[in-house]
Amino acid sequence: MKAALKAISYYLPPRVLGNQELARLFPEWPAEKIVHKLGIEERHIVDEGTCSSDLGVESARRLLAEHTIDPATIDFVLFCTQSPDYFLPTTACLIQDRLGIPVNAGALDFNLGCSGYVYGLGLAQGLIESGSARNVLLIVAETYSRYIHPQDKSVRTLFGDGAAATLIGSTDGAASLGPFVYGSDGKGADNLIVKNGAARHPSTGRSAPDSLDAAGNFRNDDYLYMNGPEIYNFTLRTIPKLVDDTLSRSALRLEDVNLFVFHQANKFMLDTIEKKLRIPSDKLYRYMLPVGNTVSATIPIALYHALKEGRISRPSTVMLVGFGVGYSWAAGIIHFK
Amino acid sequence: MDIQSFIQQLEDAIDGITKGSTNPTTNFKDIEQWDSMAALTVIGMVDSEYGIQISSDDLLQCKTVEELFNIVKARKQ
Repeated sequence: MKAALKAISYYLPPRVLGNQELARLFPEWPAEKIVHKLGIEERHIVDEGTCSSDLGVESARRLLAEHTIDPATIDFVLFCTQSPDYFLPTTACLIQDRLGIPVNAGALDFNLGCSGYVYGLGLAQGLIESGSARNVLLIVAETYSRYIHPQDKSVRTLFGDGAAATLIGSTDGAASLGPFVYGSDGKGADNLIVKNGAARHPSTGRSAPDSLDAAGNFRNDDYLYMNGPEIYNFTLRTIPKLVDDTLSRSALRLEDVNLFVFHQANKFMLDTIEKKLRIPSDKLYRYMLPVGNTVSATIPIALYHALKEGRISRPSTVMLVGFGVGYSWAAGIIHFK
Repeated sequence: MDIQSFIQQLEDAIDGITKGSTNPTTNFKDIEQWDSMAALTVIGMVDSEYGIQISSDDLLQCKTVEELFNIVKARKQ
């Protein structure tokens, strides 16, 4: 029983934050500079009452409708988010209920960011190939905007909210999954973090003070903090080896991969990866201008558009590479037949 | 490795900088285009040209271009 990717859909909340608005707030970064360096024009941001499960449910409803899938056939829900509706119960259980998925389905949340989609595909493959599930609904949904301080220019320009839903099935698939390669390094924890509000540093009822980190970047421990240069260095160190390991595990050479879909962190990061790994630019897929960095949703959203644009012919070998917060990373192969 | 090539590579990496305006004693703080994006492009340049990793801490410790050059040179040995 091989696991295969069957369908992908996605959903973005309606409210748009464009570069013009950001340039008004942060005049030292004009709109053209944001596009030129980061490759982002717009991001979508949730309204106050909208949670990750809402985005997730919408993306799943689109999936079910666009591909005529009966929710009664789903027997496992995997939900990836770092902004769950509640500390408990599990948001995937709420999603199971809202989508009308049968109660004999498994459901769980897992907390990952930019590596989340690839991990999710790997987990889905495991469930299917062990005979524990036949149709896995993998939803990745992120609302980082909830964690972002209005004065933190660097993360406000980068991150957007969104969700993607994917069906992984077990029929002789048109797009078989695997192998997957994983990695983790908790030493990078402090470089992309929301420090306060959970168990390690509970909310005190008093707001944390605004400050600047040593490099002059805005910092407030109640909100998302990102150390750009450290994340960049992590990427430089880790991605070349990850891609190499995945190629060896698959007995492939770089030239055998028809399309790379990396986590769409920002244009500068993708330019660096393209150059460092010597990937021909027509083989490195990019989609971030209208959505920004949607964390775990960047890869499925990009994959959706790559498929739609006919960038993945049959047969094709595609490599997905996710990396970021944790630090956490994963890469996997999809063989489109 | 020589500092003049290093300065040229630095100027190529930093968007909008006037070529030839930088010398070994130039302070990063005094470079008009020096911001968080410029720091990333310099980290990237040092990695691709010299195969050396420099951290944001390294950049913070360097006041001048020459100090950064010396760090990279030392790591290259």
